[in-house]
Amino acid sequence: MPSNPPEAEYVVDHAIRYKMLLGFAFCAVYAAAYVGFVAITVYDVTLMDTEMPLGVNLGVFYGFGLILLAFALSLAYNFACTLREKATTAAHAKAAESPVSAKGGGDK
Amino acid sequence: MAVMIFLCFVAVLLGLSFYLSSRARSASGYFVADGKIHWAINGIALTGGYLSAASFLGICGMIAFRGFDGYLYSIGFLSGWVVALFVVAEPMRRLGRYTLADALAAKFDNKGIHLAAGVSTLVISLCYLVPQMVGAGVLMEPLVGVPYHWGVVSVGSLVIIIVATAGMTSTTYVQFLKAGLLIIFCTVLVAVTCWRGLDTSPPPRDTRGEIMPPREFGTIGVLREEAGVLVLDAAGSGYTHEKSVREAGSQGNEWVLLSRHEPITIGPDGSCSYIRGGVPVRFSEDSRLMSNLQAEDRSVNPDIGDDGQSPSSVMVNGVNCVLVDGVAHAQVKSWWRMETRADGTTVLREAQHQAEPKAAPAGGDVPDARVGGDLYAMGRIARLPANTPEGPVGPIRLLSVFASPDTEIEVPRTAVVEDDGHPITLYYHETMKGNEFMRPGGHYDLASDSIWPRLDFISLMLALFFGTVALPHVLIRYYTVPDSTAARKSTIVAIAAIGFFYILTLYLGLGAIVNGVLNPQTTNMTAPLLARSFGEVLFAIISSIAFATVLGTVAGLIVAAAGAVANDLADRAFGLSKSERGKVLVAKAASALVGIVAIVLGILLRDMNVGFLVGWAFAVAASANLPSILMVLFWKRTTAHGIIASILVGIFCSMAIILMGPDMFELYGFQRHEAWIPLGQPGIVSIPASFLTIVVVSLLTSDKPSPPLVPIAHG
Repeated sequence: MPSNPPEAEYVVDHAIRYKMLLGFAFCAVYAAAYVGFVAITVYDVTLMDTEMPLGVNLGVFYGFGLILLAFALSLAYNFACTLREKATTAAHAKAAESPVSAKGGGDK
Repeated sequence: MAVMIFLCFVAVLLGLSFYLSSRARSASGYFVADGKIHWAINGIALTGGYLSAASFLGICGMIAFRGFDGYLYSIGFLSGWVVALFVVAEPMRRLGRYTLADALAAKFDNKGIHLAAGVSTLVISLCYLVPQMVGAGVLMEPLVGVPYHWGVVSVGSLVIIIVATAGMTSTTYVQFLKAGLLIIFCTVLVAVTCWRGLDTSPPPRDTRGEIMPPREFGTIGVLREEAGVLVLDAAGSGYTHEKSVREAGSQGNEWVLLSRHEPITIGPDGSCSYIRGGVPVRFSEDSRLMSNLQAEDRSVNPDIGDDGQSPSSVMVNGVNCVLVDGVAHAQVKSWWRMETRADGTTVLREAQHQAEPKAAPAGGDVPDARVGGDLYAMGRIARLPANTPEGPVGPIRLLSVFASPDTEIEVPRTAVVEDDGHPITLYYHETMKGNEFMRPGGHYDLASDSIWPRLDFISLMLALFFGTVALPHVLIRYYTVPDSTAARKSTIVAIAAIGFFYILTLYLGLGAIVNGVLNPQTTNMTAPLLARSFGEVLFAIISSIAFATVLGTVAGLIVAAAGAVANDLADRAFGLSKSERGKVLVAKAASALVGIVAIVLGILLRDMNVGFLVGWAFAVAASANLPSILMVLFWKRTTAHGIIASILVGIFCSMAIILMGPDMFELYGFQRHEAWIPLGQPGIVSIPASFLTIVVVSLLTSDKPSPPLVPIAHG
C-alpha cells in the first residue's frame, strides 16, 4: 500500500474510477446476454427447442453459456483490474521518485 | 449405517465449529485472523455460504419435477454474483461496510433508518430461513426416521443452542469443508449416474428409496360411455365403474373410481393380503381373528368369519368381503385418470394414493395401501429415441437425449379429488415429450396465451438477478479477506465453483428421473434419493452434507436476524438496552424467538419446493434493500427519508403480493384462480416501486445535498 497520502489518493482514485467503469461495462454485457435469454423465452418459448452444436437444445446451451460467460467476464475483469492496479502503483512509485512529474504532488 | 455416518459427520462439523470459535475468542477478533486466509480457500468458503439447502435440494427437485424451470433458478442465482462482483462489491468495500445497515449508518445516523434496515433484515432472514427449515425436516425424515415436524424442531433447537453459546464466529473452514465435499460428492454422483446410464425400466422403489417388488400400473382403454357408465376394453375385465369425479380447477383431470374383487390370501405370518398390480397388499391385522385363522388351513380359506351372515358376504379381520366361487374376495377400489391420446382414443391410467390411517373402520372397505412406505417412487424415461441404446451415456449425450422430441418422459403429478366428502390425494404420471420438458415453461406456463405466467417468469428472473447482492448474509462473506485483489480472486473462485455446481444440479435432477426415484409427495428429497439408489453410504454422505449446509446457513441467518433486532431495533431505534450485557441478552432472546418462528413456518410450509421459497426471499431482498444500496452508492442526492420510504415500500409491496398471490392462496386452501393478485412473483412490481419511491422521496426531501460517499476516499 502507498505510504504517501496525497499521491496515494491520486493513484488510488484513478484505479477506482477505471474499475468502476469497467465493472459497469461488464455488468452491462452480462445483463444484455441475460435479458436475451429472458426475451427469447417470453417471445416464443419453442425457440428454446432449437438444436445447437453438441446436440443440446438452445435452452441448455444458452444456460451453460451464461454460466461460462459469467466466469469468463470475471476472469477478464480481474485480469484488467490487476494490470491497472500494477500500472498505477508503478506510476505512483515513479511519481514518488520524481516529485515534479506528479500532478498535485510537489512539496509536502 | 446411514445414521452413523450422518452423526459422525455432524459431530465433526460441530466440533470443528466450536473449536474454531473458542480459538477465535482467545485470538481477540476472528476477523483479523481471517486476513490470512488464502483466496482460493476463501472462494470455496464463499461457495459454501451461498449454496444453501435450496440450491441443492430445491433446484434438483424442481428440475426433476418441472424440467428446465428448475434450471432457471440456477442461472438466476449465479447471475446475481455478476452484479455483486462488478457493481456493488468494490464501492461497498471502500466504505468499509458489509451490510446495508452499516453502509447506511455510515452516511446517515437516523433512528428511522435503523428501524427500517432492522425490519428488512429481519423479514428477509425469515423468508430465507423458512426454506432451510423445510429442507432440514425433509432430510431428517428418511435419515434418522423421525417425523418431519420433529426434524424441523430438532434442527431449530440445535441451531438456537449453537447461536446462543458460540455466538457470531466465522465458520470459514466449516464452509470450506462443506462446499468442497458437496462439490466432490455431487461430481461423483453425476459420474456414477452417467455410468449407470439410460434405463427405461429402473428397479421399482418406495418413496424412501427401498427396492420394492415390481408393480404394474394398469392402462385400460375406454370403448364408449353408456348412460354414465364407462364400457372398458379387455384390459378392464373384472372392473366395475363406480363413479367419475372431476378435479377442481379449470384444467382439472377427469378421475374414475373403479372397483374389482380380489381374492384374499393369508400369508405365513397369518396376515391377510390381496394382490394389486402383482404385489401383495396387506390389510388390517386383528390378533383374535388371526389366531382363529392360524388354526385352520392358511392357503385359501373359503369359510373365514363366523358372523352368521349370508354365505356371499363374510367378515375378514373386520373388513367386508364377498365370497366368489367359495373364496373370500375383497372389494378393492382404485383411482384412474382419464387421458385422451393423440389418436383420439381415451384410456384410463391407474394412479396411486395413500389411504388415510383411519380409512378402514370395522366393517369398512379395504384400505388401498398402508401409510408411508407403500407409495412407489415415480418418474422414468418411458421411451428413448430410435438408435439410442440403454446403458452408459456421456454427459452431453444425456442432455441431448432428454431434449429430443422422440423421448417420452414420465414425471409425477399430484391431484386432489373429493370422495364422499373426503379429499384424496392422487399421484399420477404425466407423460411429456423431451423437448417440452427441457425448455422453460414447466412451472410457469409460458406456452399459454395468458400474460401472467410471462410476468411471473420475468419477475423471477429480475429478482434473482438483483437479489443476491441484497441478501444480508452475502456481502459479509465477500469481505473475509482484507485485500481487494484477493477478494476479487476469491469471488472468481466462487463463481466458478457455484457455476460448476449448478451444472451438476441439472444432471442430478435428470438422473433422478432416469432412475425412477422421485418421491411424488415432496420435490425436495430428489437428490438424496438419487444417492440412495447407489447405496446407503453415498446417501448418508450426501444427506449429511445437505444437513450441514442447512445448519450453517440457518445459524448464519439467525445471527444476522438477531443482530438486526439487538443493534438496529432495540438499541438504535428504540434506545433500549444501553449496556453491552443487555444487548447480548436481547440478541440471544431474539435468536431464540426468530428460531421458533422459523420452526413454526417450516412446519406449515412443508410441501412447498424450497427453491421456490428461496425465490421469494430473493424477491423481498431485491425489493427492500437493492434500491437503497445502489442509490446510496451512486446517487448523491439520496436522503434518509428516501431510504426509509424505499425499504418500507419494498417490503410491503413484495410481501403483500406474495401473501395475496395464487401460491399462498393454494396454501390457505383456496383455488389458485381465486387469488386477489394473479401475480405469483412480486419482483416486477415491487422492485420498480421501491426504486421510484427512493427517487421521488429523496427529491422531495433533499434540502441540503449530503457529500458523496464514493469514489473519493479522503483521509
